[in-house]
Amino acid sequence: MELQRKQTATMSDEKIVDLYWQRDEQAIKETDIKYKRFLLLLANNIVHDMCDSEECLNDTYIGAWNSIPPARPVLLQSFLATIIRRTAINRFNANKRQKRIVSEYTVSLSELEDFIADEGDMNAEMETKELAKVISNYVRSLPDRQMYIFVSRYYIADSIATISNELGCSVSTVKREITSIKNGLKKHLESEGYVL
Amino acid sequence: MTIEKLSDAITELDSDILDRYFIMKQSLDEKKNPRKRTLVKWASLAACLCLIITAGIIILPYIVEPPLEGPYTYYYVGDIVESSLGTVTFENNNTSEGKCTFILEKKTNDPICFAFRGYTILREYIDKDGVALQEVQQYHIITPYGNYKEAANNHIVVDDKLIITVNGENVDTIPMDCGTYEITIDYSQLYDMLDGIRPAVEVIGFKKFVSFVFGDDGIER
Repeated sequence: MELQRKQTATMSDEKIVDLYWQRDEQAIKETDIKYKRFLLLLANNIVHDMCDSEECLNDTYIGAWNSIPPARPVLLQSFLATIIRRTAINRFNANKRQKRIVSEYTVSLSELEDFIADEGDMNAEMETKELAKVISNYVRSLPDRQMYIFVSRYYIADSIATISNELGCSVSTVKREITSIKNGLKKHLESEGYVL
Repeated sequence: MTIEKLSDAITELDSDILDRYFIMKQSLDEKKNPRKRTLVKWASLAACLCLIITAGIIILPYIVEPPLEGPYTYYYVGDIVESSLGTVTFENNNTSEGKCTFILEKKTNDPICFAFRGYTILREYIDKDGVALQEVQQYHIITPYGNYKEAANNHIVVDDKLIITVNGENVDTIPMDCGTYEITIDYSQLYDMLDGIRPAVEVIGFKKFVSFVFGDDGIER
């Protein structure tokens, strides 16, 4: 059955978004056919629990249904990835209060922790969105390969082994690139006035 | 700054970055899956081939000058041709008068017609190699025959320029019933209508395509 599912021709993002705009529930079905596997993977990278990932997925579909319209995303995958990441992080934080969760998400975050100061040194005036803009400007300036590694590691929370497999290079190469990206991000944040 | 703030900020990365990422991811997936690419490539080739074959089947009849069916066979004054329609004898032809005569022994009630081919010159021109060419409009001039009008393709079909005489009497069309008929066709009006006439008249029916040749000088062969 899975093989049959893979061979099913998927609808284009444009047509799926049109279904959302027409308030046709087929939009959810088509979204599920095209992106379920990816979205579950992303959610599971963060929450490390398939049941929680399924719940995040359902919340994502609801979020998409409520957001489109007025939104009209060009690349639906990016739009959905943002929703499920937020949902999964919220679920992760809720679970974290109850127990420690080992997931690729926590491991990837810990890589960035070494240049982040304590909460007491936080620049209170900098909002999350402004910080997002600064980071976006940095990531946008990266070559394709480093951009790919950054998003894979810190947004999708893929393992280093997975990233190295996708890029067709060694784990040590990916680790070296990550070190270079981290150093570059640190310099960029400092140049934008962040005290680290 | 806290790690949570950093994580939240990364969640809010600009969408163009994510778009760029997913496009690159798709490209990497395609490179990793050559079998899928090969299948897609061969499927595309097969689809193109089917399209070409289908187009050829549809278009070819419009390119090749059609008999309705079968190849041309050429016969001359005095020849007798037998077919499932019956027997056709090419009695005589007088090109200067523009008349030819056949003896038709019809064995079936199938419709048949006599058809002439000719052309008018639309324009004359010199091509890039210096060759003088003519652009022509082609015509089928027939004794009335409904199906043939549809089969004429890019030829203009005309069915009122031939004067038909059957057993000495003027008629509008070739008889349908079985029987023996002396058929004279006066095609002299074509000389005013056309710039050129092919030196053959065709007897067209369901079963066979027969072409009777007559020279410009009307000499028997």
